[in-house]
Parts: sequence; C-alpha cells; structure tokens
Amino acid sequence: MLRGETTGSDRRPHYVGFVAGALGLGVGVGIVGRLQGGAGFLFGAACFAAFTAAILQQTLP
Amino acid sequence: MFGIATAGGRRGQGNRDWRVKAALFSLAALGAAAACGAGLGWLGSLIPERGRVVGVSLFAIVFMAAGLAQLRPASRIWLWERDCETAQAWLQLGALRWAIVNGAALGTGFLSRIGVISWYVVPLAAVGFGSPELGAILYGLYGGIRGLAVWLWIAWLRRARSHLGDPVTSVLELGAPGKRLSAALLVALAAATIVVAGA
Repeated sequence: MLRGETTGSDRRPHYVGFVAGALGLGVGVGIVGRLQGGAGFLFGAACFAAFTAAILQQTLP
Repeated sequence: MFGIATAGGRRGQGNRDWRVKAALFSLAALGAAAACGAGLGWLGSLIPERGRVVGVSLFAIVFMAAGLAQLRPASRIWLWERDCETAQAWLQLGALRWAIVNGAALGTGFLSRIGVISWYVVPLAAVGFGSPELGAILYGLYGGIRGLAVWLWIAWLRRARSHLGDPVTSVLELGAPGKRLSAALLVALAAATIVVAGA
C-alpha cells in the first residue's frame, strides 16, 4: 500500500474474511487428506492462521 | 489496491479494463505466494523430520510467550512488525506492471508491510511441514486471499462511489483489536502445536 492510501472498507470484509477462514480450515484439512490426525489438524489450523493474517494485513492501517 | 482502479488513468493506461489489472494483481499474488511456499517446503524437506518437529516446537514456545505478552490487559508491547511500504517508484512502471509487481509483493508478504505477528506462521509452517505441495497450498492461501481481496474492495468501492470517509476511520479503529486477535490466534496455534508435537 502506498503511504496515505488505505484498503479501507467497512467492517463487512472482516466477517467475510473469517467466514473464508473457517472455510479454509475445512478445505485445508479436506484437500490434504493424506495428513492424518494431529498433522492434519495443525495444517488446517495453519491454513486458518494464513487466512486470518491475510485478512488482517489487508485491513490494518 | 486503489491503484487498480485509479493509478492506471494517471499513468496513461486508463483505457485498460480494471478487471484486467485486478486479475493480474490477483494472479501475481497467488503465484508468488505459491512459489514461495513451494520453495520453503522444499527447504523443509531437506531437514530430517525430527529436526523439524523440534524446531517447530521451539518456535511454538517462543510464539506462545510473545503472544501472551501482547494479550495482557493494557499491554503496550507490540511484537516486532516490519514497516515496508510499497515503493513509490513502482507507480512509474505503468498500471499493468504495477499490478503484477505489487500483487507479487503483497502475495509474498515479506516484500510488503508485515502488520500482524501471525504472518510468521505462514513461512514457518511451510518449512515445518517439509513438503513443497503443502507449502504451496498454505502460502498460496495467504497470497490468494490477499490478491483476491481486491475484487471485494473494488466491488465495495464501486457501490459506495467513494474512496475516503467513514470507512477509513473505522479501519483505523480496528488496529489494536486486530493485533490482539492476531496474538490470540498465535497463542492458540502455538498451544495446539505443542500438544500435537509432544504427543
């Protein structure tokens, strides 16, 4: 982003982001079916963290 | 990101459909992120599994301590963030090249401002899983979301017919809660990692 620019929007994108994050958690675990048990859970959680980080970085000033 | 809709006109490429610029931006972000993830995953595959488990566990402990420190009530501790604004010179590249370069920079994350501590989970997890495919998926999710967000933004802007005003204020107000949310997520993920790695 350029200084002085913003990716400003209202709060709706946050909710969109977290819904996308929840979907990402499921999709991450689902796509990578060969990861079983704890590794699969951690991968899904990491996917969720990646989604959240992306959304927060787009919306933080 | 507003440059997708506005910079092109100032740079003599205003006749370009904004969808082309937005698509290039999104694809560049996704592609750069996936490439980074694949590379990191490949590097991780060179490390023995036991070493990766130990390394990830140690990072999880550090992240948990750092996240908890930030979550304390009235904490003024903000974890290290990298301040790296988009290079002004990139605007001279023209709208299409700007879209590609800026999209790639945002997709990788480390070439743009890192404003939340949980970003570090992405590259570390890509290394930790030790697989180019998993790394590409994980990092690609991050870059893809950043790249695809432009469509949401532009859709909102086109409907709101305004770039500035109240939305800016509301975003600025979200700074501290957003960082705390990031820290909370980091603590939760670190705890899960410690439990799983220790099992």
